[in-house]
Amino acid sequence: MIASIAAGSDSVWSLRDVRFQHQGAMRATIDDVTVDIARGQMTALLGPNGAGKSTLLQLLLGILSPASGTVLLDGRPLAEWTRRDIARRVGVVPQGETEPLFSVREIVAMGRYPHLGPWQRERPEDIAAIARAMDRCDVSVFADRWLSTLSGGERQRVRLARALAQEPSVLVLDEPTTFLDIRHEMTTFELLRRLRGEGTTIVLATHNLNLAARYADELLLLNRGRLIARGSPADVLTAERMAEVYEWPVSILTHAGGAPQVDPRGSVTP
Amino acid sequence: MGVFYIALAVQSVACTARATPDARANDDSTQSAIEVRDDAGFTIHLAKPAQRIISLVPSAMETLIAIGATNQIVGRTRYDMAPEIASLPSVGGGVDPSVEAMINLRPDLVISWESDKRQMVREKLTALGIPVFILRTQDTTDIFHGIANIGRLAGRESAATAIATSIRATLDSVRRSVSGRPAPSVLYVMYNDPPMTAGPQTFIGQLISLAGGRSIFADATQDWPNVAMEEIVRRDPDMLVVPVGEFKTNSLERLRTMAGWRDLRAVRAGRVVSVPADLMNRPSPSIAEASRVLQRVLHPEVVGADSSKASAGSRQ
Amino acid sequence: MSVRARLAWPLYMRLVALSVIAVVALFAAVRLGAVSTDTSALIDAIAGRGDPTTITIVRELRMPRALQAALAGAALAVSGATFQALLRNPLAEPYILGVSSGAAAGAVFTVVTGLSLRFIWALPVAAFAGAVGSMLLVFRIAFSVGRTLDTRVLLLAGVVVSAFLVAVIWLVLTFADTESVRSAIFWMMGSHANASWRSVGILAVCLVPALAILFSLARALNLLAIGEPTAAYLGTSVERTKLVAFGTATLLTAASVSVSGTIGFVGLVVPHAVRLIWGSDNRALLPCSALAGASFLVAADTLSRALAGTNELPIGIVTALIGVPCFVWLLRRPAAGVST
Repeated sequence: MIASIAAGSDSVWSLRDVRFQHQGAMRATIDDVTVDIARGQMTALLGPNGAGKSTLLQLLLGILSPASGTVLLDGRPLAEWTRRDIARRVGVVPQGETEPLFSVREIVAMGRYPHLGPWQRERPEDIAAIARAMDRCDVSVFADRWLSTLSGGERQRVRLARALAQEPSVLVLDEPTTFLDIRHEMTTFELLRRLRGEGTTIVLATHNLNLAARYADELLLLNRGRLIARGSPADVLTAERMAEVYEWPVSILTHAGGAPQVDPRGSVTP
Repeated sequence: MGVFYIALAVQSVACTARATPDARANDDSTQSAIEVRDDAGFTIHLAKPAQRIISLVPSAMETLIAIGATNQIVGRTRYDMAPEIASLPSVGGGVDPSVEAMINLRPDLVISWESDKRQMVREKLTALGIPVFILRTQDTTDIFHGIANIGRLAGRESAATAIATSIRATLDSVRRSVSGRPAPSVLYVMYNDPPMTAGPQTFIGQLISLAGGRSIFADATQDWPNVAMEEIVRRDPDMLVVPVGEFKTNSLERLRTMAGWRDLRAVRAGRVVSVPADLMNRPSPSIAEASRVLQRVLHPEVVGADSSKASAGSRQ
Repeated sequence: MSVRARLAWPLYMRLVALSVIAVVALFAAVRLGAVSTDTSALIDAIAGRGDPTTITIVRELRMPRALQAALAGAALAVSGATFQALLRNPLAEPYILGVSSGAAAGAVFTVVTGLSLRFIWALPVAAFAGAVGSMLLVFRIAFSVGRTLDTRVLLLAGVVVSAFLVAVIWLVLTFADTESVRSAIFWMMGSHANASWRSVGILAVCLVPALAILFSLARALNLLAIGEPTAAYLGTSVERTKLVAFGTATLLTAASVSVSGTIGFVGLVVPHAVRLIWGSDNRALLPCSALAGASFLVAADTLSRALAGTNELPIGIVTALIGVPCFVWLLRRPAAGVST
């Protein structure tokens, strides 16, 4: 993976006073968020349901435009980027998709589309990137099967492979481990750690607080559209804050590796 | 789709045995070019009388046979059953014939419908150099024009003139025989569901008034109008004239069971007469006979001297 | 044949195989008809030798008709595949945005007013205008709801506009004379009987650029078939691509419908059949559907002519009658590759 060097900036994304409201929503979905996403780090987006994690990701990717405030990607306003340019830089692993009759290889090959013209055929370097991506995500064995014959977790890995085939310098993942069992969840996070070691910037939204605490460099905690806390896992994950945001009492334990772990209490009412 | 079948029945019919008129003309084909203007306004040019004719219009087929041009016909539609031409190859339907089959017969004249709204046949054939004569068959004037034009195209003008004269004589005779007599109000029931009748500008409408009947829809503007049952009840005809053909959907028994119809004065009193559909629906030399049939059912009190062989109207 | 083996066929091999089928279909179309011809007479006629009547039949009637059926079939199949990708819906077909009702409305109008009698080209032009008009209306409705071409709104608008136009058509036909009704109904069932070299030329001129545009959008259509956010993530300008693709596919359909009436089933079933063999990758699906659609419609047209001598079945009926059993047979095969 290639570490991208932007002129004089160590933030991939810079958001200033970003505000966004979905049509018909009662309050702002994203309310006055100011944050920098650092390059070469793994940043995890946390927060309860409805906090605005997915919306924030879509604002980062330019799918949604803020009602007010600015979003800069690599120092340039997002509006100045073409979709193709973004796609060459940023790989996205979305949550769920329609599934027409494509083979796994064809799906992963779509990761190379941003690098090819409409009539251009795949070059040797594209074929190699596809093969490498499939290997890293352990889906090579499925290469010639229809996507629809795979389990939910296997399809998730195929989507990750597609993002890797883009050879992006930034990887954005929206709940990447929802359907995965322990083994695949862990291998995914291990893979993310390796990618980060190679210089890829990682941004992921996840519900898995504890794995995020162990693997991510920085946590962003969202609640009701506002950025409540930001910093290292130890700074962000305190019992009071968790109880307030998630509306459930928790205690904080310490993992063998040193990261804080959130331990929800049992039932409150007898 | 009933409307479609009736339309077909109106325009093309199974021929029954018919006596050809006595006048037999000599072939008086001239050697000079023939120019005839058809009913769509196009002028047909023939170097000599047509010898290989295909008629998609059954009434024109009848005319050709009547003027003695049977040997000049090379193809028929599947609806033409006259014994004189039954052995000829069929080119398919009248409005949707097989162009391929027609071309294969190498015609030098094709007679086609004015009422075909898409005129694909004419387009294709004229593009391939085959003259197409468009024939209109709506009223009696059209019929006489048609007979004259067909006579010219086939080089049998004197035979055509003779037939036209004979028809006129019959029509005049019918008109005279019923003049001054009170005319019964009549509904001609082309079809009963939805009710359809013949407008005054059609040849059927004209024959009815010629034969001393008064159509209750003499004010209709369409040729074959669909009329509302309520309107029929309001206009209260003295009698119904019902063309009966192979479909047998028109009959007094049937009308007695149908809502609206069964309450008509004419139906309750049984004043419903049937006429042969295959005779009535032909805008051809047959109108002479048709007029006699109508005269007999509308004014049975008139003693007519006629030697028609087909069955005339009968009280049901 | 396993999925892997089928997918291993390179594109050019697939195209060659389908082209062979298409050529066979075209040959049969020219060979068979109301008048019987044998093969040697046929070849002579194509070359311009022999009996002039046979030459006329073969060169002026059968050849343009076969080619028109081929072009129309290709247009409908490619358009159907495009709509299925854009709408992410396997039931999508070329007429889904009200195109068929719009074309029928235009055609019925010219038939009933007698314009089709006075000007030979009035009917196809009116059908085309009607098709394009209803597409624009559907777009307008979709845009008035939101600033983007939301596919759910498009589908609904298409259904609604169609229903309205069909009601108008029947209203007009209620008051029309019998011949008009008959002509209109038979037009709506589809026919290639009026094919001429000129209509074939016009159709080809419309088809070639449209097919080129859609083929160039093949990758984008793959992405859109998966989802619009995903397409955006992978570099597609979603709204612009949708506009171009919808517009081009509709124009393609409109051209086909204006020369041969509304023939159903081709645009729905042919892409599915190809997909069941070789998957959804539009880079292969679109050109393969074009060839398969051409063969299918040519075969259907030949059957509609050759089954009953001088009688001719409306082609829309034939496409359904042979299409359905073929499709059911395809569906029952183990489509999803089980093992590699």
